[in-house]
Amino acid sequence: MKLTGIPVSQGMVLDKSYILTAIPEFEMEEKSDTPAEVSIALIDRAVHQVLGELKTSKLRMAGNTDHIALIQVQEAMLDDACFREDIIRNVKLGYSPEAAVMRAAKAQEEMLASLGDPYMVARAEDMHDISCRLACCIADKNYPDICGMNDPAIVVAQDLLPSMLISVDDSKVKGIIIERGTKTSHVSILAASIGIPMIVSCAGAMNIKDGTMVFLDSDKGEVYSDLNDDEHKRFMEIAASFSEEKAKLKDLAACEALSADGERMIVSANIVEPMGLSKVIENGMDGVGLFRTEFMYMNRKKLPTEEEQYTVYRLAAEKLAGKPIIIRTMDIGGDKTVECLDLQHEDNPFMGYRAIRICLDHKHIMLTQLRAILRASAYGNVWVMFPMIATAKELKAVLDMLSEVKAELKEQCVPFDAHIKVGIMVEIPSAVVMLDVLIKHLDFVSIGSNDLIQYTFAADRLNKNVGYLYNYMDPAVLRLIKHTINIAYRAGVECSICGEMAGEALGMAALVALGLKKFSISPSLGLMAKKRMSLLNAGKLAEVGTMMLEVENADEATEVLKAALPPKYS
Amino acid sequence: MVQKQTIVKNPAGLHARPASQLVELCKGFECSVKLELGDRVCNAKSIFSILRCCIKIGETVVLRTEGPDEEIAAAEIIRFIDALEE
Repeated sequence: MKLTGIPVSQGMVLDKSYILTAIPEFEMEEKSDTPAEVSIALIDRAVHQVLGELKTSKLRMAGNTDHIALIQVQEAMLDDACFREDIIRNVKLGYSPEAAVMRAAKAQEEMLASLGDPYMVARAEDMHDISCRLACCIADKNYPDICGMNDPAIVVAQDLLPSMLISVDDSKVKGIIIERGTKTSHVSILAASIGIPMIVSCAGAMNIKDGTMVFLDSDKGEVYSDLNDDEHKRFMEIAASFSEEKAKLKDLAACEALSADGERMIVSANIVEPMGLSKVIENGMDGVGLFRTEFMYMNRKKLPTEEEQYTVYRLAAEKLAGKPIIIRTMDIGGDKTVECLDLQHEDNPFMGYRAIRICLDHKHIMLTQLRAILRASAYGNVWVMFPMIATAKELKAVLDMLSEVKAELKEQCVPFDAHIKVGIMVEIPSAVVMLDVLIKHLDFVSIGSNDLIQYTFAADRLNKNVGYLYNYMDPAVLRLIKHTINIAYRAGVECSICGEMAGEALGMAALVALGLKKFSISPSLGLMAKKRMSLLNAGKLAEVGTMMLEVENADEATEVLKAALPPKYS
Repeated sequence: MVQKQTIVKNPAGLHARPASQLVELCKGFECSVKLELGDRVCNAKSIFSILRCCIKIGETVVLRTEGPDEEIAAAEIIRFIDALEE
């Protein structure tokens, strides 16, 4: 049987299933004749006992700060004065102790869910978890826990609550398959932080038989059960080679990225939101090659203030402790609904009113962001990068704004890095053609291969019908990239790439062949990129690079390149 | 009664994790602890009361403590809010 779900954290594992029964449900309308004082004493004793259980979990989790923080939140909820008051009120209305607890809990869950913040909706889940546990304790029922798990297994459940996951030694939990659930729930975040392969929204998961072998591929979001001997053997091999690879990759975290012939390569990260920064440090990457700032503008009614942006940029810069962080100014267009910008819907948003084009009209957006970036530059190695530059005139306009903000800060005696490095994204073909002019004003350039490819072929990369045109191995793309690298190196300007091409095995090899030495990729690919780099002989590939530019089409370029790659390179 | 004020500087504001730490800190004092943000008021000894107020970055918080240890409580609570990072 094959089931599919949404991947939460990556990995491949083969193990026995452990089916978690549903949580007992409590009748909210249940009344009782027990005197109120007796009920209250019973509830207080149960609160005390559950608090004791949480304390034990905390001791076991010593060192795992994410876990402990979660337990602390649940402790505060359980031991809350408002919560207790409401329980007592319900007991006095004649409800049974369990019903009183569930009623009081529901009121707080609804309050949290009504705040309109997805993060608080997840906290309502935490509240539900801890109050069910409390009600079970009062009723002397077993709370369905994975602590009953004696052997390692893949946990299968309709829903998994955070306290369940932390109630067990997590080395026993080899994988998690959830029938409902979301990617952003606390259990998902916990599983990802511990590194347990997990998928959610897996319809039919509860049909898996308890104790049978299951193969979970959480990269693809697939589950296989009812395995025959052949399948079992095949999946065992896949799972074994996966865990072996994973162990080997981990060693690379402490190493610098070096090519097979010993050339130092720079592997930095593309960051979508600040949470990704820990992975950059964990994987020993060379800083952040692209810090997107779009997240600051999404899901809100008002534009982010200077103070807000400054705090976020400064914390990110400090976290990287001197390693470079390239902050890209806002790159939003009509393809996204952004309340605080009030953009019109466009039929062709990628060629429309976007990024710098909006900022040149609404200068206050750019000036506020530049002030925040410059102020943060006093606290780390901050570089600033402008997206979607098409002409020298646009570049001059944004550089003028940068000078204006610098002068203002200087006058106000606000500290900033006066020599902050300034660069642009090279993603519009006109910028490649005119790069010899643009480069005079720049300290670095970064190739945005995703957009560069789609603008070069006039082919929307989201449109499957023209997908055959979207190919980074086409000599047209390779020549544009080579031209960019040549112009940059000649001017003594740093050149890097931050498109998806760099995250793919073949793409990275092609870029090394073209002479590139700086790559910015998803932080989760950091170790893989270092491994790939260690297999590539940069000196030898340079000869292939020239040949790739002379062929007629993408297939020939791929063939030429592949012939020069080591057999195990992937 | 002691009254002090500060500005919330951490990006996430007083969300669940810092709120639970604040509750733990406040419960250690005998005095009552109230936080005021314009017309929103909360009891800093209750996590639900704090979360209901949705205290965000950049907001000015007025702290009022009342009771035998109000002085030291006010000083420590302000220090706690100012030291928040995430």
